[in-house]
Amino acid sequence: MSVRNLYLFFVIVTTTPGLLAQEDFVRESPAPGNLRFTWIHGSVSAKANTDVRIQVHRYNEHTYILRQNPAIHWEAPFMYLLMGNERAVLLDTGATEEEGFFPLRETVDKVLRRWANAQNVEMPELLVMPLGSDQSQTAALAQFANKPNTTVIAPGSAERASLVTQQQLDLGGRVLSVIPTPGLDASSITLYDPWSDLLLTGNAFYPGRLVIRDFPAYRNSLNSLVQLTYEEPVSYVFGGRIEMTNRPGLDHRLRSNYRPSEHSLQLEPQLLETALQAVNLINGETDIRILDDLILMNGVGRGARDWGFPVYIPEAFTTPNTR
Amino acid sequence: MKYNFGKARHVKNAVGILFVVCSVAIFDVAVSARNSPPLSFPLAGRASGEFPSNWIHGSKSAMDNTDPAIQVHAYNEHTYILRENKAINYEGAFMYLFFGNGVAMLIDQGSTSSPALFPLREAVDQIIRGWEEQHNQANTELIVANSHLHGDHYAAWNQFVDRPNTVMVGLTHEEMMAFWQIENYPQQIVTYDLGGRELVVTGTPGHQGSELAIYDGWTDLLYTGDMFYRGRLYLEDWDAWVTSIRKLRSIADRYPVAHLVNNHIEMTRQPGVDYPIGTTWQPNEPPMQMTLDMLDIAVGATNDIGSPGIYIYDDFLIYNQIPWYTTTDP
Repeated sequence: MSVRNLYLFFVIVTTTPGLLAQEDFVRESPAPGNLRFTWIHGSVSAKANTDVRIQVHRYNEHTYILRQNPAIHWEAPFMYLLMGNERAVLLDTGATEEEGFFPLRETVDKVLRRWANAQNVEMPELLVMPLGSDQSQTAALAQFANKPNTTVIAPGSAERASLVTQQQLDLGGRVLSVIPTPGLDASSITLYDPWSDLLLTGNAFYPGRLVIRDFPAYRNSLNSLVQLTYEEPVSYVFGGRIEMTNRPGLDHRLRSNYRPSEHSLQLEPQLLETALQAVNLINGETDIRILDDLILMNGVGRGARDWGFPVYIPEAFTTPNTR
Repeated sequence: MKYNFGKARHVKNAVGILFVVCSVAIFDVAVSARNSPPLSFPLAGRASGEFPSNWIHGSKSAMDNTDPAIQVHAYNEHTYILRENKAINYEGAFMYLFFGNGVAMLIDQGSTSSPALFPLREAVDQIIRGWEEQHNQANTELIVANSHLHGDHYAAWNQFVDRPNTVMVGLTHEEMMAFWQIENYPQQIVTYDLGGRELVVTGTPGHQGSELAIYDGWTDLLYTGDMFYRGRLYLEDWDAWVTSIRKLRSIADRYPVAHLVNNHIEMTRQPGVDYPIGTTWQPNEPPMQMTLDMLDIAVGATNDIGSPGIYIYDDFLIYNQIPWYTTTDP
């Protein structure tokens, strides 16, 4: 082996780990992800539940999805952890404040440390950013308050407002688009990840009861999401919760903490267009529109559509527009 | 001498008769003492009892709940009230166990079937064993009865089907009425003898078409099941409920009533505010038992309410045949 070859070998050996640590997040096709598994979904008796408190699922190398156990809180929200070259972002923080019941900070730390080890990089800076201001998205924010190397971007903060103005969030190579999507929740935003082609809608769009609070705003939000699906490739839409069953149009009862046969978390992007059509049909009226994969409700409370199909509608309340 | 002899014979006869009478009397007293029920449940006066200061009421994180699956509370020595843990099922239903001589009656069986998750039979067996020891009883028969036919009140019925010395009343309207000997439901008011303890039973439909109310003359407790409790009174048949609640009032006029007891707590301590349906944690519950004043308010409501909808009162909400889009959930 010549001295030159030896030098080249030395250069390659010393620089490769550094190169490995950098992912350029540029792909012709979406980064694939794994969805062949079942989410934890509570148990007949929550008291006897033996599942993990937080289910951690590695969707792909730099994308993790977390679910809170329904036996801790019936909202059982999903949280997303995306890693870039410079920082990681945790989207949503679950529905329970107490670390003893819901150790989100500890779990996120473990995932990040393991990821950093595998990537051979330093622990990345962590951004904690709820996609909306709902209780099931912000409850555990306080767990991250004094965490070193962590920035909390709470709803209503100036930092968050500037992200919305810039329309993007740079994780280092992985640049997410930020789209404001008010309507159900005034502070709701949606993120688009052009690397794995995921649309992360939080509680603005998910397989469940979508209770519209501001009708024109929600129609605009859906419009802009539909526009995005025309302009950018979207492999899946991921929301913040699951409330539908796997039977078309049937939801699990509000606050049920045992949900066998849940709808899938991921939605096809075409559903955005279908939902927009339904919203256009609602046209600001008091109405409940039941689609196969979600239920749109305008002008009624969240409990309006409880479990099961309506079995008894008194004469006085029937309207020409029944479902 | 003859006379004397005769006299002596008379005395002899008299002594013989007296002996026979005495021995019969002694035998009679002895036998009747053996047969007379050791426990008496007089209607006069009132057997007092106590409610717990707090019922178990679930916990913030249901999977971290450390309460027992079933809270067993002795209201008094012959009356037990059970509550299912809300961390097992959000209904948090109450169940009742009334004792008479040689017999116990379990009214309602909670909202969870599995004996592993909700060991109702074990709990009832334990109460009966303890009661038998305490009151020198044996071979107590168990009657498994129901206030009405809704799944959150008979889920653990199955746990008793193979229990020895047990009468299963049954989960159909016909079986229920046959057991209580009610031929004319719901008008008829019958009295049932539970081992010397007199229960007054009548039909109170409105929430469900087979519901019964039970008045226990010994404790003066009026049990109103699911048709009247601190919570959302879901009424499928308004007219039937109006008749039922007025009938409860007339029963309360005829008999002294200490407390109205029932099946659920859904209200908070804040007047007119209920816990959201499905919640598994109710840290600020009011007591379960209700007063006659509340019954009067409900009777008054029957005159005010004319159409379907949700009507809010301090201690209960009336959900009169509510349609699918009416809700108090924001």
